[in-house]
Amino acid sequence: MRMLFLILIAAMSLAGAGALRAEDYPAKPVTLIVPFTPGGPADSAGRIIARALEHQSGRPFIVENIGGAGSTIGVTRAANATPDGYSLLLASSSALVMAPHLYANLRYDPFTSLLPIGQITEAPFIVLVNSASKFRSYADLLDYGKANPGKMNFATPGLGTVQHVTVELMMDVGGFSATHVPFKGAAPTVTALLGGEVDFIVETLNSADALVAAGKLRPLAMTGIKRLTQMPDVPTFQELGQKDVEMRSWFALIAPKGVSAPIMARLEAMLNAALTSEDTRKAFRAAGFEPVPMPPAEVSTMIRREHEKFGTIIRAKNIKLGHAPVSPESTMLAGLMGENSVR
Amino acid sequence: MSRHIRIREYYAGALMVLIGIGAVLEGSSYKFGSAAQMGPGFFPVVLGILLVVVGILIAVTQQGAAEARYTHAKAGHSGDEPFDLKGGTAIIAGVVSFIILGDFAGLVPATFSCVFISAIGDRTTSLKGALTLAMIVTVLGSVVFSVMLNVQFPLFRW
Amino acid sequence: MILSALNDLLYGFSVALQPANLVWCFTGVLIGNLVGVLPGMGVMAAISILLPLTFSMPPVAALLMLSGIYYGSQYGGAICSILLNLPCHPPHAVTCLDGYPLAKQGKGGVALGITMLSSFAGASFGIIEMIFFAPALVTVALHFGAAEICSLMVLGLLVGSTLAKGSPLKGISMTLLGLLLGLVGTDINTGIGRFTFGIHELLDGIEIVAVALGMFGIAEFLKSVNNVRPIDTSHTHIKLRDMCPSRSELKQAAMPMFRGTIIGALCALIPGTGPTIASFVSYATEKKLSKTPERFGHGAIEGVACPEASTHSSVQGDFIPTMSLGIPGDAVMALLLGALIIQGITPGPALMSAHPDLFWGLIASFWIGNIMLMVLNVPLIGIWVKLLAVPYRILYPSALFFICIGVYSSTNSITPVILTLAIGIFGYLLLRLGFHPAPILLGFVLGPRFEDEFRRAMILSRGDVMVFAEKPISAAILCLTAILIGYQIYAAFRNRQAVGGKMEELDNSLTVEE
Repeated sequence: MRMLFLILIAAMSLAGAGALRAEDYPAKPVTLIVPFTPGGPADSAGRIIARALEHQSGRPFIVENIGGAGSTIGVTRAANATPDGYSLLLASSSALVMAPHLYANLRYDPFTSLLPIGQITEAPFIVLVNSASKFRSYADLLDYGKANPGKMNFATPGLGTVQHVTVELMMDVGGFSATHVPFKGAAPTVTALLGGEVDFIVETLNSADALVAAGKLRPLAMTGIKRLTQMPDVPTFQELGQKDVEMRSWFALIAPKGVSAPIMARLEAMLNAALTSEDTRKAFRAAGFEPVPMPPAEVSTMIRREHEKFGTIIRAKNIKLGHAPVSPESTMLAGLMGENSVR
Repeated sequence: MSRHIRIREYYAGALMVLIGIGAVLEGSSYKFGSAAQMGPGFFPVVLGILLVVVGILIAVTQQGAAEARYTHAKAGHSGDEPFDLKGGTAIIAGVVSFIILGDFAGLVPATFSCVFISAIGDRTTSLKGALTLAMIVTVLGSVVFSVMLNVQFPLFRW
Repeated sequence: MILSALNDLLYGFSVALQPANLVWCFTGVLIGNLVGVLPGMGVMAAISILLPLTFSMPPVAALLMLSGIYYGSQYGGAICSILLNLPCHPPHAVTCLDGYPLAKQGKGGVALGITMLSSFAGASFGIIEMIFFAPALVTVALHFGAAEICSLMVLGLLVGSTLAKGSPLKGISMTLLGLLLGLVGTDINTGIGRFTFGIHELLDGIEIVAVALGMFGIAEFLKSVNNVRPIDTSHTHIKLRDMCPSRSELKQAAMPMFRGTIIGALCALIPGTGPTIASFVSYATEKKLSKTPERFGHGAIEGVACPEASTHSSVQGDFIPTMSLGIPGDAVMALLLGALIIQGITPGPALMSAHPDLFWGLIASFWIGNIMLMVLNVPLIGIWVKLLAVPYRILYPSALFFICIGVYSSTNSITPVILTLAIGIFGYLLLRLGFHPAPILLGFVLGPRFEDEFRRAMILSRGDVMVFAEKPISAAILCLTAILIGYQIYAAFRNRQAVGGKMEELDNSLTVEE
């Protein structure tokens, strides 16, 4: 059955090549590049929105997972794709906000090679401790951290991830310090917190919800502007008087630069319709996301604002990664530092 | 035979020592770091040193020689078949042709040449036999991998 | 508590035995089995391809099918390892050690029969473990922090490296080489590319299939081409009765099978790399316990039974943290969880009470699926064994193609094929020098994780190496390791004298014959 489907897709993509008018869009299946490995939150978000767009357009939206190198491999692929509206990207701050500061020379520019269609979801980070921890409030954690600099441990999914920068910002504003323990991905950081190996982590609702509900983790504070409906007792940093600690994890639908204006408008309309449909909202909520539509211009400003804000922290804390990522499609692989051993 | 194995053990040890030294040299070009914040060079250097030590031990103790002699004598055959130039070359050339044709011409020509070239390496295979085999594998392989499993590999890239 | 668990299990069977679920479970194990047989085709690839198909299915059916692919492929993988000496999945590298010699002796059918039995026994134990001990195991697993995992890996690496034929020193050197190969690529902590020698494709590391199929596949073909004696197929009966292992063979395999399952169950505490450690450690254990260790590597039936049992018991154990905490242990588990999340089910500690049909249905389906795999594979053994009757001149060119396409499909790029060829040629050199490549895979699989955990343990202890001795679990494991090394040295010393004695006898008898 699936085989037939694939053959059909192949046949259709051959037949459908050539110039297309916006009102015909989409005339063939659209590829949505998710620059993360399957199974993670980005993949879930990507598949939910792909299904919703499929529903809106009546054409298949196929998710292609291209993970690796802090999501920059997949983003590079999307940025260099033919701008015909049939290759889209699900992007997050990793590639558009963090990567430009972390990697020496990327093969895309977040501002000039990509165009936002709109935001899909956003979620604040929640400061979490083990429920057996002696910290009952964020103030407890702060006081301890100030009195014992560097003694606490915090886990993140890796050097230069949004979680890492968020904690650096928290420490900067709160005036305390703790030791960074990088992991590979978000899942093992939760395990480390449950096992008592680290003292705190920051994560979004979808990784924490079930464990908080089961009484295994305790939320202390969250980095949004408003409290979460799912966790009404958890104060925001705004309320705690640390207004600068405002961080979010977001996903946006992005197109490579050069897609014609009518198709962009059509995509924006489809995305908005998808995000307001009750089915899609339900699917996102069930997966732990909050669908928050945002028009393209605002997404651009938001990316710029975050770019500057994160850049300041990354430079101040001297967070560095060695080299730019590999692009899997080119065999020449330019865009890397000339020497392989960066000291 | 026993002398042959002893020399083999010297070579075996030497190879490990060489790789170990290589790892240490390359590894020491990365930051070594401290115990609390280990750099990327720590593990390569430590592994390299261990490999050098083990390599020397292999050559010195000749442990492998004793066991090899024992098992070979018992099993009644030598484990050391000489390198078969025709077969070996054909296998390597077959894979190389897959790599080159796979990159430029697509799955069908790559498969055909890979199977055909490697098959003619066998001394009992006729040219016709190799051709037939290559054809069968090409057809089956294209159906299984390209159609059924949807491996992203164009059948032809012209 | 036991009663309620049994009650829940019965409920699970009522879910899993629904005709639609049975069909999906069967589809899953069948696909898994087939994918497992093809060298180089990974479970990950198969599950990723089929994942979108599950969106329109009910969650239970989706989960049953996807898990079926996962454990079904383990059965398939063993077939390739035994008959062709091609391990596509690292744990099966151990099965090759004795499985392939058995196949060459015309006992391929028996080896496969024992494999199926061991797999089933291991899986069953893993399932029982999941039913009764899941909460307890999760608690223990959470106590396995960086230091404990490190110590366990040291134990696994040392024990595993001595299992190959030939000298333990050569085994250790192969493990070290594997660890080094595992370092190739981008360092996680700093983002620096190591051992890439300016080749940018290497920044993402070497694919596991490139190492496995290069070392075992291409290297072995280079060695055997025009040198191989045709496998004696006159003993290869294909009647079902003859494939059943004899009573004495069963007896031989029983205890190793049992010990294998226990070791596998314990190693399941380290998700992801658990099955690999389990199969190597259980093989080494059997070799140590055996009264005739010299048979290992030359077709010992125990050498097939124990790794397969432990792999399967560990594979089922992989589901424990995933299902009871909602934290995926490895990439395959992450995919399964992703499938659930898209279905609107949040995995977590509450899964068992919120979706009992899913949890217990899955467990019941494990059993049903494993029985299906047995029923499916036992009659097929006859067909698989016929593979051995295929002349080498046909076998190796075809297998070479399967290797090429399998490696290609791991990343959909040609670069890993180049690497496989290079590794294969290097592997042939190693074979000629009397090394056995199995421990390379062990080192390669554990290497990156080992370094990662070690560095993390050192960050957490602020650079104090004593942390490994101060934590009780870690200290206990290290003690065990020390005892094993001590015994190894003692045994080697004693053996040397014994071997020396036997050698003289042999030399004498040989001279007499001359």
